[in-house]
Amino acid sequence: MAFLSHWYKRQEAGKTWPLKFLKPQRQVFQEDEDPADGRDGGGEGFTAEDDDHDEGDGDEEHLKSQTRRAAKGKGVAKHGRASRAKKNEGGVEGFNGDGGSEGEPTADGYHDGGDSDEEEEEAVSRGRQGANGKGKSVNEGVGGKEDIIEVPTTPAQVEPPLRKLFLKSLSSDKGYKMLVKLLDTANVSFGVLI
Amino acid sequence: MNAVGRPAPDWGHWGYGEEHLPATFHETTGPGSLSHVMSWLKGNPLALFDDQPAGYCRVEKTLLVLGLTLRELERVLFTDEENSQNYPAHIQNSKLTIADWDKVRVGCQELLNSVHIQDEETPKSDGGVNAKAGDSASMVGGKEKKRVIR
Repeated sequence: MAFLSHWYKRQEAGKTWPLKFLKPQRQVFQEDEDPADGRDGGGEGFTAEDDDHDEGDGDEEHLKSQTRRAAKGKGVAKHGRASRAKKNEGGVEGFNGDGGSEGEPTADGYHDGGDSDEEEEEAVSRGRQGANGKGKSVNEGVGGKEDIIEVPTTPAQVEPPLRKLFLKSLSSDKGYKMLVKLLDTANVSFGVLI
Repeated sequence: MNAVGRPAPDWGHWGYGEEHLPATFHETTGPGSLSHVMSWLKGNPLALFDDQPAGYCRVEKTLLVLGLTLRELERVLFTDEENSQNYPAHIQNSKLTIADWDKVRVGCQELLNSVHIQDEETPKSDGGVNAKAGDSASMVGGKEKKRVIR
């Protein structure tokens, strides 16, 4: 409804409507985001409503400042959940542009024609990839803190205490997982004469 | 030197330093190939030896071979094309199929079924053999409970 009333007001004011905002990708953000926690939620992103300004409204500067926030890691839109989030690790979703133009979706998020903000966001993205990349698992611990456990990718790199963790990380197949549990049993029988 | 079952593939040890299995794994036959892994698996690497159950190291090494095999197969079969560009050519051009993956999974299940985890209860001993340091049997209701792989 807010969208419609906003549209209606714009029509009355005789302003042109930027059709690019009606792309499906934008709609998804509008539905998912809660405008209440968008601005200063510390990590939650700005919403499509925040973006619904065109040039010439005096909002350009406002939008640019939001874009800068997105590039710095604030104002970043939320990530997908569970398995998809794993694939998108390292990608910073968000909007990066000037004048509200929308970039093409890429592996790292949304980018448009290059300005310095884009480079900054890519740097953030690379930083995240470094933190969450191959061979590292991130677990959310108590109190929302992230425990990063480095799991080596080759057997030779694995210290004996981490061997079980390494073996667990090799496959998620059910039968294999059951076999890994044998290690607990073997642990008990180890050193015990029968 | 005594050995159990068939020999494991040459890459199946904790000193293996490559992130991917060698090209021989992707070949149809030969040492280190998937068919070698399957025949090794059918030989039951966790079988009793001299009436002794598999120890921790043997279980660990068995899991290493199976885990590396499954990881390699999952890379071949389930990696997105764009992400597979970083893999060596022998992985990208591998002829392994989902049927091979199923075979290994079935092999894991059969191996699991062949291992009987059995709880043995023995009277509590005081100061006997089982009370020595390093004996990790748990105490349950005044009796020692051992879990044994057979």
